[in-house]
Amino acid sequence: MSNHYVPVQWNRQKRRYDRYLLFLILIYLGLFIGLQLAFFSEITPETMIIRATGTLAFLLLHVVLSIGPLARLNPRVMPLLYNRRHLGVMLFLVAMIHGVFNLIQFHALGNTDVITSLLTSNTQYGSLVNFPFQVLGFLALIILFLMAATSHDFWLKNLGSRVWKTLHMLVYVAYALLVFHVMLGVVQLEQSPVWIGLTGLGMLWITGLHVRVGFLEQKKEHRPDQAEADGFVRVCAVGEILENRAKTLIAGDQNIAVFKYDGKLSAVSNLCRHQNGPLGEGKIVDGCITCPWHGYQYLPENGQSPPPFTEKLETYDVRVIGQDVYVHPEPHPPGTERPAATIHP
Amino acid sequence: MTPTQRKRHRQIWLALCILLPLGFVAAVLVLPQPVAQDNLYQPAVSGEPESEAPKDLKSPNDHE
Repeated sequence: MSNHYVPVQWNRQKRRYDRYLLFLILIYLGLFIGLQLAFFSEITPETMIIRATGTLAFLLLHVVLSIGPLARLNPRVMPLLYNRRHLGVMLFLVAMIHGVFNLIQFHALGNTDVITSLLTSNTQYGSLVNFPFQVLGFLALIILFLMAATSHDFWLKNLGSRVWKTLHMLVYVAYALLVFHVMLGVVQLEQSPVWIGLTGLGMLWITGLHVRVGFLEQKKEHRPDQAEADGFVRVCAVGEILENRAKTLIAGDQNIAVFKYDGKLSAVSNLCRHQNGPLGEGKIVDGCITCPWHGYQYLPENGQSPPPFTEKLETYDVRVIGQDVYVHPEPHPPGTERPAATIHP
Repeated sequence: MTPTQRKRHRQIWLALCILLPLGFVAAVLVLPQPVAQDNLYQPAVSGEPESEAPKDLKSPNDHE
């Protein structure tokens, strides 16, 4: 967490994940280059590298963009979400190799520098069939670079989670740019129905998945209709909350998670201080609410991270009347200790 | 994510869900069609001497 910064917080799981990732990438590159040699033996090594890294980067982008919504649908995908940043950085490195080889192959032999050549050699922006698609890839590469460079928690802490998240949501712009980069590139250079079909399928998969999960999430949001006279709102019956788990609700502009543990109930903000992760989808581990995204932890009674960590969540008043759970949606300042509500047997 | 961020996500993906397929279809529609080429002369049948071009077929550059 934010106690101190180290370049990368490696652990056994992350090392194993990265080894698998590297292995799969090498398998892909080997297979792709082998097939290219078998079917298109006349192409140059540079072209082969451009094709292999280009297709790999686009595939990795689809994987990166699938992990988030898939983790919402199936918690077993959550470990991939935990390590998604490594995949994102790897994606940028592969895309950069693709970009550098393109610049060498198509723009390094003239009188102008490579970037000027890239931006000025084709200016037919009004023509779809002759559109300078390489510029789209270049813009997407800049976005991927910004994301990879700021993927460390140092930047998250210093930019603030709102700015950081907005910056990283530019991946959607990068995705749109890359779909057109690939489509127009295929149209101009390849015209292969296989690549066109695969690009179309990938696009339908990503957009369909995100829209579907977005609306499922919207349906799942629990928004109580009305508050009691003293401001408390009913959350649910006690029995609806599993032990060491939470029930979430949105009351006004407050996103609240009510946790049940050791015969008690406590309510904290549902937004992890790290990346606004959904704390209410996590569970209590070793007495601490544990974020399902990256494992940040908080004590349920006061919303504070255990020492030496310093993150704090807003807390809320909870009460139990009969078998019903009520919460007051007025937040207490982050880290304020509130007495837990006792569950009557 | 905050409810606002979730809403923004939904809006962005809904827009992409409409715009990307439109762009995709447009890109497919402009795919250059292969140019159909017909032989000017019948290909020579193997074993037979090549036939000469008819004399009335002249190039526009030929001047009498």
